[in-house]
Amino acid sequence: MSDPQTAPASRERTGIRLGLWARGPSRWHIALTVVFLALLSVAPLWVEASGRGYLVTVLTRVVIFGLAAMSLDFVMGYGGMVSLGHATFLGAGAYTAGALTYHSLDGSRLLGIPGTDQALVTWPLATVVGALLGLVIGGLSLRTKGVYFIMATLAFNQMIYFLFNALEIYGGDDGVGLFAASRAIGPLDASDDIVFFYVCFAVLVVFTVILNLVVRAPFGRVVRGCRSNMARMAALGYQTYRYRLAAFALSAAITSLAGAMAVTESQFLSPSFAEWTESGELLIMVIVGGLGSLIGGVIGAGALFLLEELSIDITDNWQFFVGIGLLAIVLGAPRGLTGTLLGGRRSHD
Amino acid sequence: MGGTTNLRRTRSWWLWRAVAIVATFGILAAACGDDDEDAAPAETAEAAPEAAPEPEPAEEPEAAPEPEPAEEPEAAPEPEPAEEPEAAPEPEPAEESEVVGGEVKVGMITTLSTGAAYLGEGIRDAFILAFELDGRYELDLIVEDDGRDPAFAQQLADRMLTRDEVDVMTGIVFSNVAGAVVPQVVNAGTIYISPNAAPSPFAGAQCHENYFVASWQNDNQSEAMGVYVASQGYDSVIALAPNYQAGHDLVAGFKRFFGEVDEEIYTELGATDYAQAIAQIREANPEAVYFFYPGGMGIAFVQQYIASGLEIPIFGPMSSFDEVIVDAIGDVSLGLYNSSFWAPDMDNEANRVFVEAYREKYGTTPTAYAAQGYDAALLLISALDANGGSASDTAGMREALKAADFDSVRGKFRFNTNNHPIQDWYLLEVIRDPVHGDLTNTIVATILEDHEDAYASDCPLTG
Amino acid sequence: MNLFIEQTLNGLQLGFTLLMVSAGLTLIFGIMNIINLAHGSLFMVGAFVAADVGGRTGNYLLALLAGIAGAAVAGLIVELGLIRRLYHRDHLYQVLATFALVLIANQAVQMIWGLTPRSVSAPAFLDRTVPVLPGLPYPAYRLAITAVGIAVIVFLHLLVERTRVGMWIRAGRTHRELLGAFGVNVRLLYTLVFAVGAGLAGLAGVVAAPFLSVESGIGDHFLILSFVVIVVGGIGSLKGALYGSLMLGLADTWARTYLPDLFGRFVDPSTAATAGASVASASIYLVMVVVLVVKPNGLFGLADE
Repeated sequence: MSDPQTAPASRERTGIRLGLWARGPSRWHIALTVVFLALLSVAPLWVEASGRGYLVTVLTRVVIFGLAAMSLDFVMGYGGMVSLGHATFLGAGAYTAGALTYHSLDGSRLLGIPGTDQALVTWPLATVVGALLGLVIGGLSLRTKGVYFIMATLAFNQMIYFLFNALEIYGGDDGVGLFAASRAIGPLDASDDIVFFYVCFAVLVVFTVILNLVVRAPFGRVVRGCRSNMARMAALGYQTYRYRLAAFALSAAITSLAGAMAVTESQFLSPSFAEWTESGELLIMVIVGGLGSLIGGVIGAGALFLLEELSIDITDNWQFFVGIGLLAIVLGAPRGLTGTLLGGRRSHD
Repeated sequence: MGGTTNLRRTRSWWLWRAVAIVATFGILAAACGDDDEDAAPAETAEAAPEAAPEPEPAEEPEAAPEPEPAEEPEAAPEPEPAEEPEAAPEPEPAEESEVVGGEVKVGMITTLSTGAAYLGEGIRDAFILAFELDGRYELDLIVEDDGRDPAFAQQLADRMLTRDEVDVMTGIVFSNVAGAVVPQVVNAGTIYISPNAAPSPFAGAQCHENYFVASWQNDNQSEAMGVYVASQGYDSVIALAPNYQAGHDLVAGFKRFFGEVDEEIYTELGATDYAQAIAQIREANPEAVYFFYPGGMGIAFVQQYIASGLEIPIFGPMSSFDEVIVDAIGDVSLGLYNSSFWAPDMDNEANRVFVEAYREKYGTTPTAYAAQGYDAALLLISALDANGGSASDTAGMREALKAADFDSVRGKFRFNTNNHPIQDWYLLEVIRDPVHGDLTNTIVATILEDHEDAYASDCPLTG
Repeated sequence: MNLFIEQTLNGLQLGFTLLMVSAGLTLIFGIMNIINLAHGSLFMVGAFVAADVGGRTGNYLLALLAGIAGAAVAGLIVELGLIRRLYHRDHLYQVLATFALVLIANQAVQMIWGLTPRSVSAPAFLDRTVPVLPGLPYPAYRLAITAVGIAVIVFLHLLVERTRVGMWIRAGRTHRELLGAFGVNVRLLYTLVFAVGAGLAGLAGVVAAPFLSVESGIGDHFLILSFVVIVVGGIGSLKGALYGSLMLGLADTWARTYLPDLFGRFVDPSTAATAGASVASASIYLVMVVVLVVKPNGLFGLADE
């Protein structure tokens, strides 16, 4: 996103920013991540004990969409690639897992393969599909920069969305319920909401660790370097396009996994997973939570879901108040507070 | 502005995040809202001042507004609890043990936004009206707008079932939303009474003992028109509908009684520019056009059709010609025909009471959607009556609902084995209301008598 | 053949409607460097104000003027109250803030005008058909929209190429930081550009209203399409907006007409009708991807933007 403005003003500052990022996230970062995850891990027990068990499914959604937002933050906050098309991968994962589940309920075959609702099959498969799709979409989109990149990802998003709409077998526009599906995860039956929460939570923890390691690894340093100053990284001999593409595909894969988890959770498959507004929501989660921090995506998801959960009770016009709240966050948060990526640009002065 | 700026920024950034965490959990605690001493309010209250000093007020909006309202979660949006204006009309003390009136908690997911907002509005208003007129039950109605989004509606249903623990659910306007929500509701052991959408799968193999339809099966709406259009000697017809479940159902229903159509044109649900479809009609030049466009889509289609200069006659179900649509189109809609199970001027006592009360309270002629919402409420009330005023006995409610012992605004009403109505279908004509001066529909002929749907035989339910 | 001609006219009319929205969007984006998601809401405001005034007075011309003025005033308020604070913020924050405005606006019009969709009727003298070809009557109103669209692009072209303000605008696109140095009141220029853009969006809302059902959120659809247009055309380029609008208007219309037929050769008619309708919706995005892969800065975009 800093790209479109590669106005002279911001270019001269990139050296400083690179310096900041070369240090990598601090110990505080790790402490915060651990604390938040620890709190999240006891949250379902807490809500259950306080007689608000219905919030467990909300928490599960926080975990699942938080995972997607975290992987978006990885490309956006660390890789500088602002994607308004991550719902594509959410949808791809949902349709991979959902289609397999549908055919297992139906007894029919998908391209000659029998369906299954075993998450140990559907989830990894969704991850692979997401990675492949990420390679294709990222490969084409990364030819563009800045706003054009945003719009390219949006365009792919819309294409995939309408493709799902055209899949009459899965209900087209309407989607299809998979209510009879089991939530089998290996030998474990996760039909209980609390059990399912902890399965999703475990996945989140694993990927939090992986992504934190990746951004600190040499690979992650190069990706971060590309964000700050692509020309310099190229001059240092790095194939920047390949690094960025790999990062994009990794993010797509994780988002796709989240999509598969989401469809297992809701047991309802519909193109709305891939709607562009879903991409926008992921973006908001990242910003609200804190860009370039990984765990921020989960925090943002938590804030957003709970805000929605609460305001929906208070008023019919909850969108109005969500809008006001969002505006307050954008205007009230000082420049650069929520994201070093975007900080310090003053191209008009 | 070098490294120091960045450093400071980073520090305050972490502070902000810390606040966000506390705030998040504050919200959570507030939401969980049991009155433990250590719960949310204390925590959030601490968080705010601590945070305030140097990172900016950004947190405020996020943290502050939430906590307090959480305390009263079921501040039901708007329905003023249907109160007893004047005491119950049946004063015999003997009855009172059976019908004392109790409280019934109803979850209503309906469409209150988009061009179809008035459909949900009519259903909701008439539902409330029925309880008000009856006056004996305290209606705790939780209304949510589904925005015509199945996935979102499913989450709303989840919330109503697990959190609010509603007795009965109702309200859905769109069949695609029903497709997502209904299985979840009935499988959870809760009764669902449909005031509108009745997609074909739920009438056939996927029918359910907890699922009752107070309106019609989707296909029915078009079947009557299929009979009529065929009877008028038209051979070639083009059918148009939005591309979703009910659109497919209504075209199927039309074809079932008319025969094959020349062409089916499906447009995006919610789309309002029909120039392309109209060009295709002009090219094909059929003898008649059959279209199903409920809500705002209907207004747009008819207006553009007329503006295009096409003179091929158009026919549709009631949903394409309701009072709001014909009123928006204006005088050119006078004399157009459609099919329905009901019209505002239908001649029976229950209907006169309904139409008059609705006019008085809301100032407009009720649409068929309102009539459906009203009947859904009457059906529910009749079942409550039969169960001593309580909805807690699901088996008893099921039995009473199936009996359908109420005075429907459409005159006669009974359930088929699949819990879908068997009723008469009429030919309606758009006229100007001689009394009120607005455009409305009137019955000109009966097309189908005691008509049932085509799927009942696939439904395993009996009796 | 008649079908093709009629659909082409439809495509042109859709294209010129899009042009009215995207011309303002591309100017605002190109000159002020502001991504304004609320541009679709200004479209909606124009339509609603026109529906309201038209409903009260029955006079289309009055409704038209009121709609344009309403949108321009709303634009002014938004510019002075919010956008001003966003000049120096990253695009991401502009997206977020203006997205918040979209949520607020969609709900606000419901609070003001209720849930029932409204309609605007075309002016009486255009409420008829014109024989374009023998056997092909076409609504005069839709032809008039095309004419208005052409007038708008001519007006903007003259404004940008022939006037002093236009010179600033051109300068602002390429050398934003220099404008102030030459003594141009940049703030005023920005406010002016924003208001003109808003007025054009309002104009589009009014002229499109007779074949829309005027309801909350009607602008959102046009907003996305307009973004596609300006990215295809190249950000900040009026010429790009013109070519982009027409390309996408025609692509969309033709795809919707001919794809279901094409599908019908392979699968049964009902399936073809439904699947064709869905895939046709994706056609414009396909165009966009192809353009971006070939020309990553759009058709007429500046190379280093």
